[in-house]
Amino acid sequence: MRMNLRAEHLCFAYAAEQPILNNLSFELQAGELHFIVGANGSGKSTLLQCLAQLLPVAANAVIADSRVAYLPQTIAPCQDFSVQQVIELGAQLAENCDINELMRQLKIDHLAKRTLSQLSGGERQRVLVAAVLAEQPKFLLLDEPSSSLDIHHQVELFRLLKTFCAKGVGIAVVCHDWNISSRYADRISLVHNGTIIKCGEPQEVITSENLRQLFGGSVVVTHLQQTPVVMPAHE
Amino acid sequence: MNKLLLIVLLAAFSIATIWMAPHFGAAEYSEQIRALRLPRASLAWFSGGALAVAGLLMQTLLRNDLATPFTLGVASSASFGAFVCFAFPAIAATIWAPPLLGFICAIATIALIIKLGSSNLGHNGILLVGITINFVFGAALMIVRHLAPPYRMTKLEHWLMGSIETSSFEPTWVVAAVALLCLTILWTKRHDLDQYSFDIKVAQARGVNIARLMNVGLATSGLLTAAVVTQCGPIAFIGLLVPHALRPFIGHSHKYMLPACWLLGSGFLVFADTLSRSLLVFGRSSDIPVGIITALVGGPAFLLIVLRKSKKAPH
Repeated sequence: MRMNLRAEHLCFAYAAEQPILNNLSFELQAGELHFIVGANGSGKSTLLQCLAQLLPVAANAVIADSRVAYLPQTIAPCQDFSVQQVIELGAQLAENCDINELMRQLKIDHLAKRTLSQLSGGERQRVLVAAVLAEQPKFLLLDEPSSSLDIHHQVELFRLLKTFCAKGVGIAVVCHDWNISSRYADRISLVHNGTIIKCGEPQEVITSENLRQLFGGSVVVTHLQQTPVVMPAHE
Repeated sequence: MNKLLLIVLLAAFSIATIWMAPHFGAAEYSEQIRALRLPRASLAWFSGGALAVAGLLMQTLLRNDLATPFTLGVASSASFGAFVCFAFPAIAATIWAPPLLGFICAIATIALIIKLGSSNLGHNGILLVGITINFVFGAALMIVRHLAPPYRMTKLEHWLMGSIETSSFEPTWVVAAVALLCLTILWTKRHDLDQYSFDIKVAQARGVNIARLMNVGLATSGLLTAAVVTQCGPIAFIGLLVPHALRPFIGHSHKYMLPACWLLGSGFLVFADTLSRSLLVFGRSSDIPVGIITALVGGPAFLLIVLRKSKKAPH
């Protein structure tokens, strides 16, 4: 049986009259890179937190067949941990994780002795991704992992995530970069007002019609070798 | 340096201090005096270890480098309970009354903090509650001090500065029993404490029950502090200094930090206590309260650690 992580008829609200997620259904399959996109405040990060079971939701609203790891948008360590220590913390949950091999794979083995505060934004993000990968999860939930990265490091990060998808890890990523989503996603879920209005391959989701629903006429969709590309509209 | 080797060295230091302590000071040739000094040294050993571990725990749980065992007001409330008995001997029918009333006040404070902490206050909210409790019991202490008969003041002042004065093993058993219970509980939570100190949300996603960890941590830290304060008074700086002194060498893993803090804290307090009763002032044994010695030695040492840390930090 193919494993998956799914949410069914998920509802969540911090205050009773202001639902953040409204009867939302979502499925993350093993081995796919699934992007969750949408406007600010649409409920993307809340969805990830519900999937990671960090927020109280109804029983059976979130069903995971296997281990789920989660990386929030920002990390706030109370001490300055070394890279090795950060990855060891992740590996505490795994049965048999070769930390050195993982660090080599992510090209961070030379950083092992450095502390998080001594790393650049790109290095830090790679280390944090390595830490959640060290948990050896079947599903990985990443909240804006590329927000502080330049385009080169973004490309590197998503190529790396693709290699883990190829090994069967299902990865859900909240991302604001539509072109990165278009390039690397196996599937994209479009979140609007706490519900998923469209889910499918990039070509099906990133359309002028869908984006107009979210952002009005401020962006347009063109195509580059059949891959949708999102551009700002002319004034 | 290898962490295990460092812990072995700390163990050697800690055991050496308690082994040597009875041989220092005046009347070193008297076997009886030495026998009387052993209970005092053993109380210092357990108290120092308990305060250091409580300090480590508070810094981890409150995610604040400045947190100490006294931050949440447990020490102030325990001091208040014991102080009332010292100030008004009519209340204290037995020798057990001051520690008992101190313990009751401390447990009431711990219960209040846990109750308030469970209402989504967060670690900063708990810190503010603790500071408030500290102020309230500080004021209550002043009132008792103001009303106490003047002839009791010397005893009160001495106790408030933190002093280890015992010739029996009974106070040691109290601190040792509480410490053994708390250390056993904390050892089972060492991995959870590591995850919590890295990031709360990540820890929660990794299966750590944050609310339970906070409750267990606050309760054990409070009990350790209350046990020491009711027997020896509030002894300053150990809870703040020891975790900071060890982190650069041991790192953040509680598997190593818990035993290392215990060993350095216990050895340091026995050393400070031996110094306090061995120092000669104007040719006479002074028996300065040990809290003064820990603050005098700990203050500059802590300053050095902070300066060293700020030099290493990226600008």
